[in-house]
Amino acid sequence: MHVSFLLSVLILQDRDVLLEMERKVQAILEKVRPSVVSITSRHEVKDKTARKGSLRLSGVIVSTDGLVVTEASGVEGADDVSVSLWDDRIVSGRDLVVDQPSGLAVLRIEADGLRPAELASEEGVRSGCFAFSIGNAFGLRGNVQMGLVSGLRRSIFVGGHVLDDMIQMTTPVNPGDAGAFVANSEGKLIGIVNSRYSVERSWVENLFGQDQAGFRGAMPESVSFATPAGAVEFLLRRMSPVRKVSRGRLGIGVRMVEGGMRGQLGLPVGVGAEVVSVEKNGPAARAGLVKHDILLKFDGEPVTDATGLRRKVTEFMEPRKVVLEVMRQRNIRSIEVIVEISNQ
Amino acid sequence: MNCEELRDWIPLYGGGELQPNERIAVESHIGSCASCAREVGDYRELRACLAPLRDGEGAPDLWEGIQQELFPNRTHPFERVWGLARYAAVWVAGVGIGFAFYTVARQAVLLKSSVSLESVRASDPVRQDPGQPKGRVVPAGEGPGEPYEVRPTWPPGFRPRGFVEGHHLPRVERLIGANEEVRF
Repeated sequence: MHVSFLLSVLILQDRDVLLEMERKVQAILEKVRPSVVSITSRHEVKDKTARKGSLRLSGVIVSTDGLVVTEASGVEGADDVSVSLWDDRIVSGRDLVVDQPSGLAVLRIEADGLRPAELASEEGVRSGCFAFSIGNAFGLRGNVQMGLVSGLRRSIFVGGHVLDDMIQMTTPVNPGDAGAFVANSEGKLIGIVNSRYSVERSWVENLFGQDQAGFRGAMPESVSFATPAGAVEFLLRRMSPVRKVSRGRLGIGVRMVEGGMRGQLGLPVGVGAEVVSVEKNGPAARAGLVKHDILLKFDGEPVTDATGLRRKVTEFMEPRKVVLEVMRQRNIRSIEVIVEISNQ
Repeated sequence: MNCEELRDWIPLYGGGELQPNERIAVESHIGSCASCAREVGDYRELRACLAPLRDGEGAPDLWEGIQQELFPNRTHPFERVWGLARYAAVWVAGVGIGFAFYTVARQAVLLKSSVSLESVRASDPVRQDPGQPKGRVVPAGEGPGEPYEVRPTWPPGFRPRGFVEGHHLPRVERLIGANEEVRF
């Protein structure tokens, strides 16, 4: 639903409703803005002139002791990172931790009087919720955009990596908004802006630039994605003092069994994940799992969702043996596998 | 000998190529047949007119005259080549102008934005576009709050529209379907 349509309806219905909405939005911004920072990551450019380059993005303060979360690709490999706070103080960022599976990075700053973001619970985030983005689009501090959550648990391929469990939004995001705060109607953090997907640009835009394309009415439509607050919470919880993030893993790739095949195999509705890849010498390979095995149960619980199974495995804090119920060539067997912990 | 047989022998008779008995037979017939005698006479007249040509003599512009009468609209081969050359020249000029226009427009685009608006490969450092004007590095302490940045120096009065200095937002390369592989 487009925001302007919503506002038009409100104006027609009751001006007081519009004023009330305006006050609520202002209250959200008052609460959120002190938690949003501007990050500049400096990269040495290796060319003949040895000029320096910088990337500007956004970040969110998530703890009073100075942890800042941002989008990973903007700070990965940076020679140094500086953080500008809401009161224009500039501090240096250090102890950078980049976590590729979630697309997040965490760095530490030293400053007092920090106001961390309040994380929303994952259950409260649903399609149709408001999603306000507060970031630094084009270097404009505290830029606000309004939209809706339009999808959950989306998987995208960005920067050479697959990111799962992403929040899809209609909220417009622009260059500089990577790492921005995504707030719900209570001003709580529901996600960190990650990326944007847009249709192919017209040749006008490619040849003359984005502003010319806009003038000619050729602006592409886009959908934006945010890393959910649950991934932020997981990262903070699993980050070790040596700046590694630990995750459980089995070394397999699975895909839910589709309807026709389920019927042929006689599987219950919604149950069964087919193994489509097995990592050589990984935990699953050592346990004897092979391609085309159907996982029916994991640790006694039915496998009904591939992403949910992945989440269960990654939550493992230490190596542990689990029992898998597997269907192979219509025969059901139990296989014991040890979930490994990987540090990245 | 009848008239029909004689007609085949008239050219040989006129060229003196008949055997003596054959010549006597032809002369005996034309002595008694007026129409055949007239035909022989016409043939002899025609032969006399063609005699100079047969010997290799002829007007220099004879063939051109004949050709003009036979094919009045046909152009000279040289004119045809000249026409093709003019056509090709127009095409080459058009392609050249188009290429020049594209090159100028491309230079204008390079001047407008020195870095891409969105990073596609996350792990790459920022690439400086070779078309970017030279700039100065602002050391720490200068500038409005940013420790290091490259500020390009533009020609006087020139400010490209839409210029952004490395503001970051990754671009999604591909959406992954609901039932694609999940790895862990």
